[in-house]
Amino acid sequence: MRAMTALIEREFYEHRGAFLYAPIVLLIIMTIAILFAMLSGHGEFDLPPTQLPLGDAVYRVGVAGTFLVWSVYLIVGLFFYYADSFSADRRNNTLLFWKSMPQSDLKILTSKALSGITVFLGLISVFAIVTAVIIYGVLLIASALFPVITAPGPIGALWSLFQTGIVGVFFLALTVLWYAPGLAWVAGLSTLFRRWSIPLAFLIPGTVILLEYLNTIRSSVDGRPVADFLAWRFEGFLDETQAVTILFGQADNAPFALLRAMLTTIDWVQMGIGLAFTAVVVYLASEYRRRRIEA
Amino acid sequence: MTDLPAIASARGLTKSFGRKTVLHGIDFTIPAGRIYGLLGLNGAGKTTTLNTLLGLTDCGGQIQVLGLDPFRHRAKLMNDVAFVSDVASLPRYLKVRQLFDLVSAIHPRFDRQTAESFLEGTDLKPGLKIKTLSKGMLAQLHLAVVMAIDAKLLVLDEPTLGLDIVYRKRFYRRLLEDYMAEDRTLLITTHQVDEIAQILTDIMFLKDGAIILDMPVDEIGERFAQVIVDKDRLADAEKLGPIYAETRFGQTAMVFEGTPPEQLEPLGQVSTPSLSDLFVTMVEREDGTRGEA
Repeated sequence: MRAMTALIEREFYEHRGAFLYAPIVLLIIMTIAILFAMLSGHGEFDLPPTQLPLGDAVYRVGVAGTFLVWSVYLIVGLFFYYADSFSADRRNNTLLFWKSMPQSDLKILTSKALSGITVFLGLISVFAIVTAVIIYGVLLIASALFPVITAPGPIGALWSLFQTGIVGVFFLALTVLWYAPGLAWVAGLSTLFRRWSIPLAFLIPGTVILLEYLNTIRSSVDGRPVADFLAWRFEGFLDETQAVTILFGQADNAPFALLRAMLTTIDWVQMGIGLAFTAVVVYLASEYRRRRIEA
Repeated sequence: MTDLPAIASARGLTKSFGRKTVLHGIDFTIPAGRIYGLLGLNGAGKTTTLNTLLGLTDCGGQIQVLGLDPFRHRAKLMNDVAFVSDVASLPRYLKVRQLFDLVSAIHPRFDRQTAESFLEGTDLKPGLKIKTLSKGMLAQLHLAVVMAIDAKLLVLDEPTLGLDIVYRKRFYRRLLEDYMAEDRTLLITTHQVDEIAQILTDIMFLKDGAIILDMPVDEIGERFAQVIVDKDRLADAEKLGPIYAETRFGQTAMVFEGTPPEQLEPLGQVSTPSLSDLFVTMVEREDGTRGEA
């Protein structure tokens, strides 16, 4: 366990640019941009107060929104991370050093696979919570500038942040697990083709879909199972409209109601198949790595 | 030679890359407590031999290191084997302190205090980023890491490549003074043959994927002799069948194998060939000897 923790830690050291420094820069830019817009703008709200929801609900949706936005960042970041990390030791010439350690190739690649759901997920969760705190500050300023907007009180905000934050972290974890086969796909390609993994990750399924489409035209067969499956998989498991409805519609425990809705909506069989596919890719990649020594 | 059990042994070791055969069924046994020099020209198969010993590549034939099949059990084997294949392989994105933190957690036989003690008095500070270190400092750091591992076998593949003479001498001195012990075995490959001649107990010469010489260093004088032949005795010397002859600055040096000293002494000045001379002799002899260890 200690070795696995250390191996995950080294992933953090190697890839902290994408999951620590870049989000910090993004947050700073976003905060400055919002503050600048609010303090220098002359916007007026035409809506009557009765049409705006209560501050608590708005804040809950805001917190959930930050997790949704950061989930996109996390998945995109992990896509590029896995497009590199499985072959990074060969690229940066450290393969022989790590092979001189008493850790198997399977364990090393497993640590890379787990980094996405542990350290990087944790970092992005922290950034999502920090963003939510910033949003609260923005709401306070906005409510001071525009009486039509109401901000929740500190205790209410904290409670909303706590509840929605927990659900948000669950959501991030489920998102990573849902997209794990896609991430494993690019990781496996990276093991074989290194930097070419990114275009190949799209080119290969794209070619299959194109052939499927041509076959559909040629034989007048309805349905394109591969394209439909990939589109459905890519879409994710969250129904955003339903999520907003739940968050606005219930006064208390709305975030947990959303979590329950998510858990019942997810296709767990597909989740399991995806994770099994991921495990197989990690194993095959480790066997390939076991046989590779040149940088 | 020694009664200690073999650290490593190979029988009929073969390795091919595509159609090219790199190792031609070599046999060797490396006893414990020795310092082996594995020498050969570029492409002779040194690194491939080391890689098979370290479990980094699969091979034909039989090979055992510390009783294990290295390719099948590399991770387990690395508990007792340390190696430096390339000093530039340290992770450059870490600081020295972070490297020690990680290796402490990853390697159960790594002693952080020992590693830090090796760096005392050097310019290597814990807060330094590895990517900022010079090649000499990298070598020092890598050596500190491997010497702090309580391993039974240490393998060094061209460990001082690209280092200046001062660093090279310091490297080998520390290795001998601070690391070598009776129960440890060291296997080194290098092109700077004479630099390590004084520390080796055994040599193994490789040529075209075959072992052409495998013997203890202190037996070289019993088997080989180099004679600076007097000009008027050249014909007599030729009759004794030297395995190698070379004319330098008007003097002809010949190397003989297994020729009794009393036959050589009348021919000229007799001495034991240096390791580099013996290496050149064995590599350039033209009798096509292969595997005559």
